[in-house]
Amino acid sequence: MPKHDVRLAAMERDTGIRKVNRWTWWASAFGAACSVLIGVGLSHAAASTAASTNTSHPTRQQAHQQDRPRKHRAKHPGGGIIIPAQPPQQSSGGGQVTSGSS
Amino acid sequence: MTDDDVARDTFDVFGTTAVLLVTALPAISQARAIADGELAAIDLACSRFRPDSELSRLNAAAGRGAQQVSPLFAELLAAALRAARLTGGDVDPTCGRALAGLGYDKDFAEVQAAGDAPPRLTGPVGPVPGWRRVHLDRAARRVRLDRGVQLDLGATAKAWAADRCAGQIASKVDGGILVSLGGDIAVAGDPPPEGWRVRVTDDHAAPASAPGQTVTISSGGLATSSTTVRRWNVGGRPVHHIIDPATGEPARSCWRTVSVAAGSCTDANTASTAAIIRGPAALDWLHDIGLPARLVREDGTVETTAGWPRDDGPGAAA
Repeated sequence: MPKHDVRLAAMERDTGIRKVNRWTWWASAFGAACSVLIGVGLSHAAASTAASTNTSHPTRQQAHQQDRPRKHRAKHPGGGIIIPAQPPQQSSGGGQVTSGSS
Repeated sequence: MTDDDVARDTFDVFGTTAVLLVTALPAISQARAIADGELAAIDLACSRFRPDSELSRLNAAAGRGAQQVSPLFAELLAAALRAARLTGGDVDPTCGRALAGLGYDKDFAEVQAAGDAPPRLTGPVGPVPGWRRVHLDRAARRVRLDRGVQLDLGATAKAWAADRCAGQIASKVDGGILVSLGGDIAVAGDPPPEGWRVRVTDDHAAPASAPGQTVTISSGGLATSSTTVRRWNVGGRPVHHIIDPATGEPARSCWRTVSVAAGSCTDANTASTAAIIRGPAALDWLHDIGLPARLVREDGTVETTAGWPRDDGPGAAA
């Protein structure tokens, strides 16, 4: 093969490799972006399902699995069980009222 | 009647005893009038034993489409559904059929007077329908119950009523207010300097000498749930009023009594009832969400969480 043909073939080969590399990079970036979007979408869907009032009564196991988000909400007034401004303090003697079951 | 510069009024309501305390002594009559009005309206809205209540009419319409309800009933039901949501369904307002199946379909005094009743249901009751089968459109004030759902708001209504009364009185009366409805306690306004002294024990009607602990609170609410009170017999079997929604049966718990302090009486009662139903898991749950609580085992030993003061003195074991 003449020398200039070899150089031409090598140049075309390098150009092809660069094109493949570029397409591979864009495909990887697109895939990563889609994965993030799908992940965010699924987490919102899961949260919505947990908050929905249109499903059947949860099993005990399901109910306890919901403890984790409740723990987070409870520390923020308005979102969960509200903790008192301060815990009860020890007192001596009798009470002005009695708290017991009725 | 006064003690410690606090005016007191005691009266019967909802089949239990109510106590009203105010620091502005002349305001006790006004406070009582406000409480009477609120409690009468709440009873008419959500009593399971009154055929003319909104709740009875709604239960009768289960499976027959959405029904219009009053603003008050919508608030009561919203509170019950919130309690169910916050406890993952452990405090569930659809226990009406389970309670009626145990014979608790009339005022509790009549249940007790009837003595040992024959069982109405044979075999396992099974889980209650579940709070997700109650559909509340709060803006439109319309409620739809799926077929077979029977509401009972007993797990939250009394505590919610205490919060409501305390808030309404505080909006019209100066000073501090304490409302106790059968031991479900809500406070509002400026408390006494040393706080409100509350004796915590199994039974709200227990004498002052009963085992327990005295604590003070200055805001929010304090509630106690127990399996030792409101008990009766069905077919020779002792039962109580705290239903485990997972089984439809009275809860079998390692705790006989749980007291909780929270930002409101409703939240305190929600947590104390859920703790009875959750059993051993309640300790970690209360600790993790930071709720001060006192839990009494069947043998009388006491556990506390989240800053509830330990009381190792004589008479502490409830």
